[in-house]
Amino acid sequence: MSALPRRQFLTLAAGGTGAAALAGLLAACGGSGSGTQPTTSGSAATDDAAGPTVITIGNSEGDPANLDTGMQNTFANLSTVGSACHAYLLYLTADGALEGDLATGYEAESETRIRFDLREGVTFHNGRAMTAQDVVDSFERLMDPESGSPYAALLTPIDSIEVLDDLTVAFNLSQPYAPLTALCSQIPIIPIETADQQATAPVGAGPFKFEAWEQDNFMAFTRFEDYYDASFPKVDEIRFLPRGDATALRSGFQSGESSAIAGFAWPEMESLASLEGATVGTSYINGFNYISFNCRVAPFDDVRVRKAFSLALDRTLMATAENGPDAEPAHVLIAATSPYFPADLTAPFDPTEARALLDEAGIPEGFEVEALIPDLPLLRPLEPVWQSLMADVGITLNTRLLPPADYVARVFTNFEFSVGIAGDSSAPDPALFLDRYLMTDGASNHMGYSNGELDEILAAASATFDEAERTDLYHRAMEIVLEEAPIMPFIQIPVNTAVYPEAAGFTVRPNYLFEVRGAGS
Amino acid sequence: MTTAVIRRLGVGLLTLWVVSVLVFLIIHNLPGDPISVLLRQYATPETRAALEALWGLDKPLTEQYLAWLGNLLTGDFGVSISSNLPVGQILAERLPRTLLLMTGGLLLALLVAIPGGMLAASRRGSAVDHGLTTGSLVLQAQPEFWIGSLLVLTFGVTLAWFPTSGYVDLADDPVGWLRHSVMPMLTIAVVTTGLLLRTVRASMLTELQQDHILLARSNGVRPWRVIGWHAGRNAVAPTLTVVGLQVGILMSGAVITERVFGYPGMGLTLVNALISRDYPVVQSGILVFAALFIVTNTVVDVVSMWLDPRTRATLQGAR
Repeated sequence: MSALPRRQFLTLAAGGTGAAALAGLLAACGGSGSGTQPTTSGSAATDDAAGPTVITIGNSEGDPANLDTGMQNTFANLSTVGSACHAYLLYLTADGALEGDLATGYEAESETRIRFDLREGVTFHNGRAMTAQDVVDSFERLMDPESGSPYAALLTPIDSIEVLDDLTVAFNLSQPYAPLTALCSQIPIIPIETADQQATAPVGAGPFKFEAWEQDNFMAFTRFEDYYDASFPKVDEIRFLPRGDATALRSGFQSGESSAIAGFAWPEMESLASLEGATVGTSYINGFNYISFNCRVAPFDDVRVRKAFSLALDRTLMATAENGPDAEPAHVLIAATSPYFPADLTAPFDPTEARALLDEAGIPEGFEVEALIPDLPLLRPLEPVWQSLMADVGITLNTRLLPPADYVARVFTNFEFSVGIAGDSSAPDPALFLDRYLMTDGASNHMGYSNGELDEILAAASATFDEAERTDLYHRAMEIVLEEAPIMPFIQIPVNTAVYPEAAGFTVRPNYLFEVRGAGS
Repeated sequence: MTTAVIRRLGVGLLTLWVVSVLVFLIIHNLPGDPISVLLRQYATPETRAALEALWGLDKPLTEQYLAWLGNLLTGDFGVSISSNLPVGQILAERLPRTLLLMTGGLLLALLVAIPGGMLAASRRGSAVDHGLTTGSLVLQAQPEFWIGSLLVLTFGVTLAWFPTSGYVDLADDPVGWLRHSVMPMLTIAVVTTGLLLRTVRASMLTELQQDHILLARSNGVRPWRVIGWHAGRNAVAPTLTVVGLQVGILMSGAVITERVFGYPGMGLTLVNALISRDYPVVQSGILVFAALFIVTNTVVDVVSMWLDPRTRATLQGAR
């Protein structure tokens, strides 16, 4: 082998040194390992008097395609625009309580008429004062089925909305509709003249004013100085970084580019918690991961087979597979924080009884069935656990992981499935979930399940404001669902968060809106 | 020569049309549709019908295709179903970012592959040759997501030299742009270098056996000139062809690289559009990628013809 001539060596050495110097220079130009966007030099809040305080939130939900939260109520929309930019008639706290937001209070004047008293001195980001007419316009914009809004179906019981004076509005209902108040924590109140720009440059009355959006890169909001509550927000600027990729989400937090992140898998919790100053936690939103059956087709048209499935399902194990050993299993489709939660009802785990039921149904040797699972990071670990549990009672699950769009089309649009796992959430009133899923004509009743008695119970529960009566009705409804098992929840949807001190106070509320106005305190 | 170029362009246009039909048919026949994605469990027949009418999805497929193609011929790419933004605007914003990323990665790869390949060929059988060929094989075997994740952990998290993800516009802040682009470009370069280096080496080995090289050597031409000029010039042509073909691989690689680095280019746009079944964006995005592939390869072929006197002579003879 010939030696490298001195001249070539020097050339190579110079090239190498130059490259290293360029890398160093680039690194130095960018400050201390941050600078994700041009106007942000370091994501952490800077407490010195020289600069504004900024927090950045890395979001596993990625970026919304459209910023109009009235027209697209995805997690990506609600957690960003919905949390920072908008205010609502009512505010859902992290504990699941409904408090006044743009409304100071409400009263059911009759079973079909609810009056809201609006807050005085509320200003929209475009500088115009909010009036009762804005509430009317904001709701009417979404009520028309032709608007394409996902809220349209949920707002059908509203007959009309009446302006009583500048600060009072009344909802006239075609039938008593208790879940309206919960919906009021999720329908954004906007100045209607900005309706056309909501998709790209939203305007609301929330704690932060929309500043910039570069799709798939970042979304920026600045403090709204005229926010009705002067004690909020706590920081000058908030930025959301869409990080659908798990590596990008985690490394963004590890490097300090994100002050907080939401939506990572539980095995990451330990390593993220070990980062200096970081705290990790889990919020449970008002929704469930569940197993549902196509009750139109054999063998799931037989309640005994569905019940056998339910008895063979170790919900604790499923919950653990999804979100670690601390995860609490769910047995009924009512959130544990709801006042209507039936704490005494649980779905038993009894494989022996499951086998006996299959025997009774005429399939003692078990059977083989295709089981669909949306291909999502949180749900993937469930596949082997579910298969093992069912194999124990003789049921062979041929699981298929499908892209979420395919899953929705097959299961919810075309009903081409036998059994599957899915997840869904709603504003925090049981009716908004149960009526959609379990009533015979419910928009989300993909199971084809129909039970006249249950329809009546759910209709009655939606139609009364009496909490005790609703509690009884929902208790009875859940008993029926446990008995007939068309759908089996096993966990309330968890959202794991990691937060540095500069974003202290950041959390996820039960309607998947982020708590951002108090973050940074 | 001109006839050959015109013929290639004609074939390119025909290919584009075939691609447009295929992409349209495939995306429209995939399970799932934009309305299911948008409304999820909230879809009612009324809302679904309203949105189908709004986006023209209630019309026969042929009618939808012809309308899209007609608009395309007038430069109208349509409007994104998800974002309501004109697709032309989305492409104009995202495509240059991906092209810059691909070009940067490719240039970095060539910067290593050309001298590396030449060095390996000139020292055939030596430890340098074995080291370079084995190294290139190892690099070629690395998936983008793995290389990207390693770079993020090393230079983004541990050393904190570069941002782990995101993007800054070149016009706004060139240094910031470079800082955000270095790691994605390196990822592309790492996985591309292996193949290119081996191609350069193989071409060089063939060239070094040629009579004119022996003649040059016997005439006392300096070794570096023989390798760099006499052999290297002819070895560039096959390498260029491989570079042209690599464009397709680079495009698919960009999809993964952009996701790992949260880099908002065309790859990430296409993935998101595919997930949300945003037909106009997917159709136009893939068509533009296909056009780029065809144009690049046509250019590469033309340049190769010019570089290699034998091809040029054949073509001139054929004319």
